[in-house]
Parts: sequence; structure tokens; C-alpha cells
Amino acid sequence: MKESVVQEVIGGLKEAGVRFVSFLPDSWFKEIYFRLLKDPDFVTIPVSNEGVGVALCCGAWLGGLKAVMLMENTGVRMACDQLARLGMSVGLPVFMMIPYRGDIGDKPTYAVAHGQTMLPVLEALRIPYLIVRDENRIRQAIRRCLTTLSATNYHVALIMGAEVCMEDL
Amino acid sequence: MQRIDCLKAVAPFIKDQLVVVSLGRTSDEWATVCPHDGTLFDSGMGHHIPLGLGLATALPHRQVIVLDTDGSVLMLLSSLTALGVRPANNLKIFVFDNEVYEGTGGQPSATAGIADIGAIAQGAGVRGAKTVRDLESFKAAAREALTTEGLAFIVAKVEMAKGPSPRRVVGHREGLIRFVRYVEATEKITIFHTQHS
Repeated sequence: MKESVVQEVIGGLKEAGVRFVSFLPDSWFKEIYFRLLKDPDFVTIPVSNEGVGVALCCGAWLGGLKAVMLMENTGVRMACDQLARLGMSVGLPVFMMIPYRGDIGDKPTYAVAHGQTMLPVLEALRIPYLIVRDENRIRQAIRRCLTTLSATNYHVALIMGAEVCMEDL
Repeated sequence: MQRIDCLKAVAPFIKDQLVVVSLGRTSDEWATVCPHDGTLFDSGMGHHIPLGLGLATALPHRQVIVLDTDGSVLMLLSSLTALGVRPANNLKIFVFDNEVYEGTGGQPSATAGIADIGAIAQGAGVRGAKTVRDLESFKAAAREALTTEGLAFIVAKVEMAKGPSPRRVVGHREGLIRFVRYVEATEKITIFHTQHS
């Protein structure tokens, strides 16, 4: 990921008032995680399962902190139960930022399933999403997602396409 | 040891704490023992601990209590590693371990003579995790947990409840709205969106 994209993400989260971050690492976002862990403006809790991170972010939201869960798109499948229970049954929202692994041009075979299942799973969970493919739109996309989360009190996903995540596309 | 007696021992300590309670009979019993707008009646299994950890991290000056169960903790064990990595001094976790899936009639859970949630928590980095097996020990552990600083993780080995469950009137959505308004009022913050026109 280009340094300029990392700065747009970190700066966009700060501008939008996000203070709490949870993540389970993905290689496309790897530069972002190290930056977040060192940044005193964020409370960052790494997790070993995306469902745990979703619940952490919902808890932070309940305490008044804007939160984001960063996870590979396979995490949408892993966190299905937490997303459904917390979002649909209880009414707690989470903002997710997700690299579009398996996007057109992504190389590894393992990512194909991630790309093919992500949007249908999000749609099954009634989660609105925005796919950003231009780094100049990242800050606006973060703001839009958090506005929608606030208006709906429901989850929202910002998907980062190959154009902004891959340098050798 | 009966879970409801443990809950009755916790209730007198409740002032302005925020309580996250697992689903099923545990939540019904808690709602009966301690009606409190600061209670979140959670749905699902497994994520009550990280929900409480996120809340406790967001409000570090406020005591947060999680009332959880063996079946729930077993379902998402990596919640414990998150707790070990980032413990919160204001978080007090009680796991009521009856060694069965009570809501479905009493099929044994993995803790029925085999798995040890207190030991698993310790292995995940929750160093102070302890297990109590009688009501007097529970009362002493609960008093210490709720009156001192530091992450508490208490596994209470309880019997499966018998007889009809008390009925909780407050549903998940109604409970959430009450809870959020309670947090907003006591913390003087806004959580729910208020732009309605």
C-alpha cells in the first residue's frame, strides 16, 4: 500500500473522530496496523477472531467512542453471527474497513473465495457498503460511512478496492 | 451453589455500574434480582466479554460487569486472548459455569469434568482468573472484585437451575434504548443519532 493511501486512511479516521480500533491483520493493510499501534490518538486492540473485534467495537460505541474494525474480507464470514446478533437482534452497529481481497487483479488463489463471497454475505446481512477505488475519495468515504452508521444505527462497510491497496496492479 | 443466589450477592453492589448480561435464564434471573437501566441484555453467545471489554475501555472511570456462562465463553474462546492482551482494570467478569446447556434441557458442556475455563483464561493471559465452588467463596470473591481496582475474572461453578424461570419483560431492543439513554444521561454524551428532521 502506498504511503499516501496509509495517510489518507489514518487522517480520514482521525478527521471523522474515530478513536477506537480493533483489527485482525491482512497483508493489504499491513502498513496501517503498525501505524495505528504507535499512534496515541487511537486505542487499538488486536484480536484473533473477527467476531471478537466486531463485539469490541460495538462495546466501544456503547461507551461513546467512534470505532472501526479493520479486517480481511474473509472476516465478514467469520463474524457473521456477531454481525447478525449484535446488529439485527440488539441494535449495535460497527463500522468495518475491509480490503477487497479477490478483487479483479488480486493474485493469490486463496483470495478468490473471499472476493466471491464478500458482497453476497454483506447483502444477506443487510449491511450497506461503499467500494472506494480512488485514494482521493478515502476521507470522504470514511465520513459517509460513519454518517450512515449514525443515521441508521446499523453496520456499514467501507471496502478498499485493488486500485488503492495494490501498488503492482 | 445456585446462580440466582450468586446474582443476589452481586446485586447489593450495583450503583451506577454498567452490566452486560448473557442470554437465557441468566438474564431473566438478573432482571428479576436487579432491575437496573444500566443493564444491557445481550443476544447470542460468545461475544459478551469483548462487548464488555470495549465498553470498559471506552469508559475507564466506570465499572463494567459481565455476567456470562460456560456455553457462551466456550463458543468464542479467543475473546479471552483479547482480554489477556488488553485487560481493563474496571472490568469485572463472572462466568456462571453449570456444565450444561441449560436452555436446551441440560446436555453437558465441555466443562462437565473436562475443560476448565479459569485455567483457559489464565493461559490466555488473564492472570487473576479464579474458580469458586461454594456460595461463601463466591460472596468473598465478588466483594473483592467489586470493591477493588483491577480486572476480575471469576468462574462460579453452579448447579443447573430447576423449575420455571422468572420471566424478563424487557426485550433486547427496549433494553438497548434504556441502556443507551442511561449511559448518555450519566456520562453526558450522545450515542444515538438525534437528527430526526
